[in-house]
Amino acid sequence: MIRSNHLKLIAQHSVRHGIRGGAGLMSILITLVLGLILASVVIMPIDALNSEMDQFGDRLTPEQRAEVTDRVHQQVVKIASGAIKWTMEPEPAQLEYLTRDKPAMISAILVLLFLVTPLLTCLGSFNQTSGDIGSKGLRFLLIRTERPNIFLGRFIGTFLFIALVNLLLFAILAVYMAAKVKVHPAGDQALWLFQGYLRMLVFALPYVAVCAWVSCAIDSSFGSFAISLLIVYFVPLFIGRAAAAVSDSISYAQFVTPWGFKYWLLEPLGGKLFGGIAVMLAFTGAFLFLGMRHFGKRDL
Amino acid sequence: MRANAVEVRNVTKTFGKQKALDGVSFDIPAGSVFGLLGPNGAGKTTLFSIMANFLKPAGGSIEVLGTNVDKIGDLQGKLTILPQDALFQGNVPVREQLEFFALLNGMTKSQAAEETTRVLAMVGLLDAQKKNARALSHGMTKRLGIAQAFMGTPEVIVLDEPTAGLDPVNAAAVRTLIKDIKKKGTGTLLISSHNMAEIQEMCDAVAILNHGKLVECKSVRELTEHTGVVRLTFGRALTDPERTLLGGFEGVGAVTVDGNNEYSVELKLGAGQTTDSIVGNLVSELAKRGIIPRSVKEGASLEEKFLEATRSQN
Repeated sequence: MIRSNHLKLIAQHSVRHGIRGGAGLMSILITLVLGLILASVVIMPIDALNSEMDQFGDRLTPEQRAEVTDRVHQQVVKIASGAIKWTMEPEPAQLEYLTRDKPAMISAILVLLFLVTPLLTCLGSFNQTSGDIGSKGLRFLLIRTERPNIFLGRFIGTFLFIALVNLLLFAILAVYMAAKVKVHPAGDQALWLFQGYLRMLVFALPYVAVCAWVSCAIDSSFGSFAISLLIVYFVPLFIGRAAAAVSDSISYAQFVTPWGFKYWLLEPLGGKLFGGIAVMLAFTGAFLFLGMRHFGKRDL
Repeated sequence: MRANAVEVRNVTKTFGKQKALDGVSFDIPAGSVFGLLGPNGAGKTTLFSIMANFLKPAGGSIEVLGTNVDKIGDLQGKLTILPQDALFQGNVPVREQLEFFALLNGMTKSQAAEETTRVLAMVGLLDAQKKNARALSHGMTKRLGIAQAFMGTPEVIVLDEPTAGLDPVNAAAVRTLIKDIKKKGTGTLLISSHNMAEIQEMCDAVAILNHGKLVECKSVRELTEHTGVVRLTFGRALTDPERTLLGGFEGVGAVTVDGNNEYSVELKLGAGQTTDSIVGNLVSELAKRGIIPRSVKEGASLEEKFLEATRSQN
């Protein structure tokens, strides 16, 4: 029987424990470092343009200044488009949406961050239950609540932890860009960053779920991390690519995991975006169902 | 009130090809202190783990307070356990862990705080309440385990080797806790231990497991009394002629040496004879010869019965 008060208690405890634990701290650190490095790939050339403009800024007339700003903006779109095209091979409409309708620099950062979202998610969620199964510490909970409450409580707690860590990353990015890289209006930047944050969380959801499943099936934290990473990256990158190399008709193998649908989440509001959200939720539901079934039946 | 707190029915458990439990069945009367004995690997911890729903049985079932342990949620707060070798979360303070358990047991925040203070004081860990669990010694960790098992008002408490690794003072304190519960009659306790004297002292009844099979399930009194054996302790070891003499008295059968100065004497009750008459005669005849027993105990020790039961299975 699922009890909401037990879910809440276990999730809260899991978040607190996650932040305090060594693996949690490592996850926070790596998320921030990797996230900021990727963002800087996009920001640095744009930042350089900005600095150059600032140097000459005093000597320019307002008309000249507007012209230079426009050129800088075009340059930003060019750099961002390059990054986006290199990463995701978008349809023209999606490219237009990401670089013209939305702040291009933020779009480029989001596209790059989506590549590492599964890795960062695995880092924060590989040890949902495996460590406590190995140490038998879970037994203190098993006598007090039903297994689904532990499984789902830990899942919710881990997802909240991932959400908090990414919120910190996005908040740093938002503040830095608002203060330093004034290419787009600060409001537009912040709004698109926030939307991107929410879309990234939707993308992270099935990976937290797959880690929950793997974690409850393996009694070792390290083993759980290794297997989770294999599922998360090996399946889409190796099998998907290999399938594509063999034949176009089986290149759709990459869609056996959420990876194949990730950039649907960076589409404009509409069918494809909602389809992407539905797919992520479906994968999450499937992984949770399989994980909970396994956790319910196994010896602990 | 229900007669049996726990009903174990034909429980079987296998790990790979190895049968850890093989059709084990017995009942534990409500309000009793029940000992589960067995050599290492006999299946005691496995049985406890099935009872707490940590492990799933391959066959059979266990009911605690009339509820199948599959529905462990229905036993929330009624069944608690001190699991063997289970580790607390190392980086979480002791108090926080216990309060979390108390909240899961259905207590309010203030009740959880009060109850945590009570059980920490009970096991002498109040001073360590702010420490992370990893900073505790083995004995303190064991006491923390006992504290969480005694939270609230559980009706069935399962203690897997509660005094293992504790110093004599703390082991005695745990035994006192158990005896208090027994005296109050507020719960049923199920204890496993390798310390036979401890089990004999605390338990009303015991079950002995060996190689996953139940080999004995009786009250401690039934097991250790009226066995037709009297144990005599002398101030010195008897000489061979004295031992021969001892075995030659009326109503006395075989004499075996238990220890340096201890002897088990088998009684053979003839017509019109009672244990009292044989033992009385034996003691007075020995006294006449200047051989004064320091103690006379009827029955075998639990340890002897345990060794006998497990030896016959090996």
